Amino acid sequence: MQPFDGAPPPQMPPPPEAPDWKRLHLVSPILNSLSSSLRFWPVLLVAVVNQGGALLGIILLGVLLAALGVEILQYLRFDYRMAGTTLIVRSGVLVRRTRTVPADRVQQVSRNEKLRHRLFGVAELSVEVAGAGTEPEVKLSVVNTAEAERIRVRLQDARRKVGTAPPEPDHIVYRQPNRSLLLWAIFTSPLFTIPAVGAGLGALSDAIDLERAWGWLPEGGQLWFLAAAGMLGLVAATAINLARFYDMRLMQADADLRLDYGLLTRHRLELPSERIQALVLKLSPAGRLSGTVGVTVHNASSAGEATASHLPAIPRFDRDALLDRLVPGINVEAEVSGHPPAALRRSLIRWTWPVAAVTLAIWAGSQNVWGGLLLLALGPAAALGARAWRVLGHGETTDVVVSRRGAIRDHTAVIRKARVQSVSVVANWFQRRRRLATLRIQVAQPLGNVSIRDMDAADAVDLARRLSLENHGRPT
Amino acid sequence: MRPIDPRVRRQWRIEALAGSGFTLAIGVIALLTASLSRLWTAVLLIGLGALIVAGPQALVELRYRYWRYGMGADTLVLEYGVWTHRQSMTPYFRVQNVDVSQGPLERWLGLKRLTIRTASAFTDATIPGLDAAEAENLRLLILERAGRDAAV
Repeated sequence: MQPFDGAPPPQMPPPPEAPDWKRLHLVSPILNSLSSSLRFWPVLLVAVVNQGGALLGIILLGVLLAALGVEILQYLRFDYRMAGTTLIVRSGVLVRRTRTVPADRVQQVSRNEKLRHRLFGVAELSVEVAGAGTEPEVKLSVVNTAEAERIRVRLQDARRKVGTAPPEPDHIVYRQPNRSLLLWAIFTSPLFTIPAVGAGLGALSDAIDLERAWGWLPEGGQLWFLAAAGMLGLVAATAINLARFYDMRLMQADADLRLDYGLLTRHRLELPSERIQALVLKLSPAGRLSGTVGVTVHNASSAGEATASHLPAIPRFDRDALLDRLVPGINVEAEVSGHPPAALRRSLIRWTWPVAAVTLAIWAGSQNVWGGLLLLALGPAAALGARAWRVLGHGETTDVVVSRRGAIRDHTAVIRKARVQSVSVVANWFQRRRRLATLRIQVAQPLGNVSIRDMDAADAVDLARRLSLENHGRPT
Repeated sequence: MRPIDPRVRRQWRIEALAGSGFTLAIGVIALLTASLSRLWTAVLLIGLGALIVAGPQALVELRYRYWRYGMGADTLVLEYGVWTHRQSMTPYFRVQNVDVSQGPLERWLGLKRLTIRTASAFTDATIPGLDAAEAENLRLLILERAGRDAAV
């Protein structure tokens, strides 16, 4: 029998949003205390090197217990809730702090799942707003993965304007090929492996008697041992680089971009498209060898996650397609034009005078003719100066300004005009003589400042005026 | 474009004198511990001391002559610098906050310093040497023109 004579059952009003404050996951104090204990690794290293068995145990236990105590107190005094379109967080043991983050001010939401987090099915969620600090505005360390996803979706929904179309399903717009990542990792690793192995062996030789320790090696074996250690370091560094950026995917999630990457620590980064301030493309010598270019997406987030929105190894043939996804219609090469010949002279002087000065100082100090041989370095320095001038350039479209510079590592910045905070034209005496000037474009932190060096002075003033006046309509 | 208040020259002269005095004091202490064997060394050092004092004083006039600021309809424009000329433009709608500050010397001279802050720490928008009343007027005008938009 139908209740109410066949009338449809009364619709129950949706339950009001639970106003309850929520706590972090129960494992938070344990995981966080382990993390903070690891900061004391130099103390532990000293204890191990000095073979202090009992002392080591006491130090380790003391550090762990102290960290756990602090973390339990912080856990008990930390709670949060979503109230409408706002995330509210209360924290602080001695000094209480309530932080309110409106969803429409969010610059970036990042979710990190380190290996230890994945064991417990939890994640670290950082919500970042604009600012010059180095810490995220809100860090939930840690919540379970379902809760992290719920907060992310709530913040995303809150940003969407009322009456707009429902969100489209996420889809991959770009996947970084693992082959190019591997090549990049191989060519990048020697840069820091060789100094690291050297420093490690130096530290080891201070701590132990190398002569005695190497006694078991056959004649000439030390060289092989060093070569093997270097090779092992190289493989380890390559593996670390590979694991860090493994399986990188750029996804379109409604109006936002999402970046997923990492093998052991899995990162997920939400980048609201309209918050993107600039893109920076870097072509390093390692990138030239591996045929890749690094792309960093800059927004105005306050946290020190500069590497988080970095795609390190984009194959050069994929670059334009990816840029078109990030800034539709941009063709970097087509937009950029070179700087006046007067800038060549400045570039040559800028690269050669340090060599000349060092040579002169050495020659004056030692009166040694051989010191003059350093002048041979003037040739390569001049070649680099000439290349720096050839690379130097700038350009613009309706929406962006492009600045390109570099001699060894090419650096191209694509700045959205609508995000320019202020501009300044700077010209020193030498530049004024050649009718040159440097245009400085200021955008929100952390990128801060982009310089277009040695452009025509009249062009610099003209571009500065347009950049500061064109946007007066209002930010887009 | 307008010049800043001429009283700022007195402020800069006193600041420059304090800086020169500090440098000279260190130099004198160093000299007292060494012995001057030749006359020309002493003459050279006296000349250097005079340059340390007179140089910054001469620069004050030039520095003042090059300082200009202008309140455009949409942008605050500053021009300054002797060796390196700078022209900075800051749209009002990018303003996050406006600071007006006054040090002891400025208080004595009746001057104030106005700083505009945007979301970029590199924004170059500080006007020194403003008459106190003028600084307050500028502050209100900039805030009025800044409006209430999201500036980032």
